[in-house]
Amino acid sequence: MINQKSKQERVQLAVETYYEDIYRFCRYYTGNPTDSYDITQEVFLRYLKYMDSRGHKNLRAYLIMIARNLCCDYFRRQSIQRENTISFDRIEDIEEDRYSNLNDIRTIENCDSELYLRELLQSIPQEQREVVILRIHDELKFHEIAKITGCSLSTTKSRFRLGIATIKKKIGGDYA
Amino acid sequence: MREKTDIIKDLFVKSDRNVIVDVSKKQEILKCIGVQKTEQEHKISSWRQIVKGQIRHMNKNILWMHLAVCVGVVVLVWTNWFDIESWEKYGMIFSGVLGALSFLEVGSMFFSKITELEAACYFNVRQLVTFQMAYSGILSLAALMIFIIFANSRLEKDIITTGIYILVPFVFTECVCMTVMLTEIGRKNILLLVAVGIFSAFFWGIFAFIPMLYRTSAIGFWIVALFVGIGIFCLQIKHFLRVLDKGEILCAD
Repeated sequence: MINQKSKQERVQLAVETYYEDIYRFCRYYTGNPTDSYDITQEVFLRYLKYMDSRGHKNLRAYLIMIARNLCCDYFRRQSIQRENTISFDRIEDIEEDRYSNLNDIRTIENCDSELYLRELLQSIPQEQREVVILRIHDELKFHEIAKITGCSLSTTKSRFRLGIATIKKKIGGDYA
Repeated sequence: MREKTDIIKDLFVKSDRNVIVDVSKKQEILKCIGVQKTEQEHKISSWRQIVKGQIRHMNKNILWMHLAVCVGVVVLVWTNWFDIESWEKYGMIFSGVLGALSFLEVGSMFFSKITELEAACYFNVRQLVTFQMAYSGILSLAALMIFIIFANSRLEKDIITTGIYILVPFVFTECVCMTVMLTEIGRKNILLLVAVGIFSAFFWGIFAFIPMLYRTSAIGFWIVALFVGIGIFCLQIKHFLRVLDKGEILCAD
């Protein structure tokens, strides 16, 4: 009973500490805010299920690994190729946010940044996108990313370089 | 590169400010966690009913295919369909094919909605995978055992030597299949396992026709190969179950 309670407390602590990080990762990866909430919930439920196994040195990286696997399955279930588009529902949400407070320039700028960033991320393949997000947003080391994605270190670095090169070309083109 | 990653980092930082996490969703998951623990504390009454239910609901497509191949092998042997003097060669080919086929059943767990089954069932993924590996292995070994006993009774071949010749391709095919399953790409695409099966059949088909392999002096190498193969396979299973337990491999679709 005491053991069960402490497990519950540990999971609750993990939720309090890492919920936002996991949600943001899922959101950048999938581009869909609604599904990202579902995936994030699933991540912590799985953590609860696998808690009894050997301890994890880096809990955050472990949770991101589960999130990444679930996001991959999300794409498989959807069986659609993520292209360089954004759902119209989301554009309407952002537009609504934008016009609800026209005087807040920072919010408008952030909305534009979010849309622009999402476009950039969706313009690169899924394998490169995940490495770019994990490296730049989540600030994980390459060997940690390699473990999460199940690839070699050289493949991970190569995907990162290619992803950045594509994004760099797009940014350069946009600002030309 | 650093300058461009700084620009992208800056975009992430600005975008993060706009991503406001819904607190109610967070509260929802905290409630869910409480509910999950309560459900896990409920006792299950009848083991027999649970096992019966799992067997009834599990995906049996590949099992039927596997059974058909096992029965086919046995029928071919008993009806003297192939040149009986080449029993070792055909035995090795069948062994390789059965090894790949029995692994296909385990591999199919990663492609056939195992999470829905796991969420609905009493057993966890580790137990489901272990059960699947056990019965598919037993089926294949039973078919091979019949083959070996036949060779012993009809051709008066030494049963142990026959067994070693037949089991080595089986074990090595299983090792290769397990190596494929341990990779991300192998778990994403079932065709890779199918390719391994086909390759194994061809490889052992060619390898089996080397006459020097069947000399008495070569039996030592066969024994060593068998034990090495079993050792490698055991280590692979241990590693596989360990990463399954940790949730690093998720059987989801």
